Amino acid sequence: MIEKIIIIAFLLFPAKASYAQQLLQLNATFANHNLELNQKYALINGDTVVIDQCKFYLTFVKQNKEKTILLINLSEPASKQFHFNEKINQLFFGVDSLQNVSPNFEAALDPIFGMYWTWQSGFINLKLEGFILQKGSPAKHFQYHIGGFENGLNTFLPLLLMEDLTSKSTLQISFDSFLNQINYDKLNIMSPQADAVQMAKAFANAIK
Amino acid sequence: MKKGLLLIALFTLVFGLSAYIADKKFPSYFPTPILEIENNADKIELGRLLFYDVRLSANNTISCASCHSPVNGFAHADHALSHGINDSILTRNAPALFNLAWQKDFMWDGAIHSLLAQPLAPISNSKEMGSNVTEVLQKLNASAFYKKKFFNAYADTNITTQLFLEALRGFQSNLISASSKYDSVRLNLSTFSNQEQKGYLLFKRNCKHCHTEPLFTNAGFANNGLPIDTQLQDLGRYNFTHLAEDSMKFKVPSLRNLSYTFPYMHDGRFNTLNEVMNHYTKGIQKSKSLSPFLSDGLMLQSEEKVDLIAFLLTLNDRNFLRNKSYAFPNELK
Repeated sequence: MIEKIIIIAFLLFPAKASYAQQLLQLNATFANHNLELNQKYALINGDTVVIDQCKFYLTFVKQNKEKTILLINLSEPASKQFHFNEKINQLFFGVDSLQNVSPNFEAALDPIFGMYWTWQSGFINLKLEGFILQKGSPAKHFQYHIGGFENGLNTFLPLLLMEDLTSKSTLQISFDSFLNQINYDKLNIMSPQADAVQMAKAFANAIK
Repeated sequence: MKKGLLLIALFTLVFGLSAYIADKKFPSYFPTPILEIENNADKIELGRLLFYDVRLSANNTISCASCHSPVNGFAHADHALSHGINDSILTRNAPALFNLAWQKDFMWDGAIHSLLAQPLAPISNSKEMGSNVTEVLQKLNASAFYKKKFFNAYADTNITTQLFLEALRGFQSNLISASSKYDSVRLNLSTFSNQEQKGYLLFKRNCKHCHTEPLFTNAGFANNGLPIDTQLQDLGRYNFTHLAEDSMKFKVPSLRNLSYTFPYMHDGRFNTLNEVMNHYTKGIQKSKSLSPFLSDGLMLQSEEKVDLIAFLLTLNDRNFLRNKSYAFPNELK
């Protein structure tokens, strides 16, 4: 059964009616099977990983440069599809620097969703939490709060070009490739840093 | 006769300045504000209510004004480090809040880039107000009083994060300090004494690069040669940017209202302006990130320090402190 993905989608600007509606569905997978939260998954090195929380932002840029920012939350069973009434020019992982510097805390960007660092300016582009089970060790909890847009630590990353998007009906997120790239020796990332940039790139590369 | 003339001069000064500021919000020699200064009276008043309301903290004991008191130029006084919820002692000295519309970065390390977002930091810090915006919105939405106030301000009774923060920003953008003696001199409503004039020349020779007129800050960040506090281990802006060049850099504070905003520096280590003067003349610790304007320290004789302090005291703005539109709102009593 396909993992249901909740997308809290809020259009920041009104849509035009002249474009046929495009439907896009997100599928989260691990080794070609649908990813389930709180389930054990074997990594290549023999360790086991469990994801108990995964939320992230996607930014869709329309042809007229207007943006739709979505917060995807894997933990809540609701819609796994979202609709667009206009051509999408580009898709990005994360929230852009303009929103980070001059935020509008409405809709998906409301800090009540726990995706805004209050002690510094900036949205958490990816919140991934879970457990890593390594041979001979008790399960260790990890918390990766991935963000950053300044001081050379950018985690707002381009994903797909328009031609790719228009031909797509699904977005695939391959967690096996992503989870195998994480260095679980470091259990917490809670601020912008080089490791966060690396993890953002790995996550962005996992979205096809 | 002499006393009468003095009183007339004083009245002219106070009322002339107040009328000027009230009319324009800020004097013509101020630069253009970076942020919009809210003009809607209902929004400003709502922001004032929220600023003074202890419901913004987890246990209803701490408001913004707990650390940013109007009688202290919206800073705290008397203790080096801020006090928070449940008798917590924080790691920095609460900065004074005024002329915020001319700033683009907030907090001692500049980690927050918008006045709209800034209140989220103290609200959700476990040692400051110990709450979060979700809890605050629940309290406000349960209040018929605030429902009415938000409707008056925004024509909406659904109190959202954005509206809540906009109201706070609206009030804080109006905290404008521009009616000190210095300002009256700038407007030709008064003159400096000889000592103040000497101090002004010393200021322009030694301090103006960082404490630029008329706001008396360049809104930048500088390492002013303070030795690191070994207990706090606060490296300032470095903690945020991770750049070696930012080590020990802190926001350059305004020199306005110094009489009310002591203690001084990011960790409140100096209680008096004399201590501050002594730091700049013989306490500078050299390092790679030290401000180039302080590489040799300041060369000031004892009398010059007194003159400089005399000038700095002309930046005190009692009208700002006494402005009733900034004070604790009666509706919260």
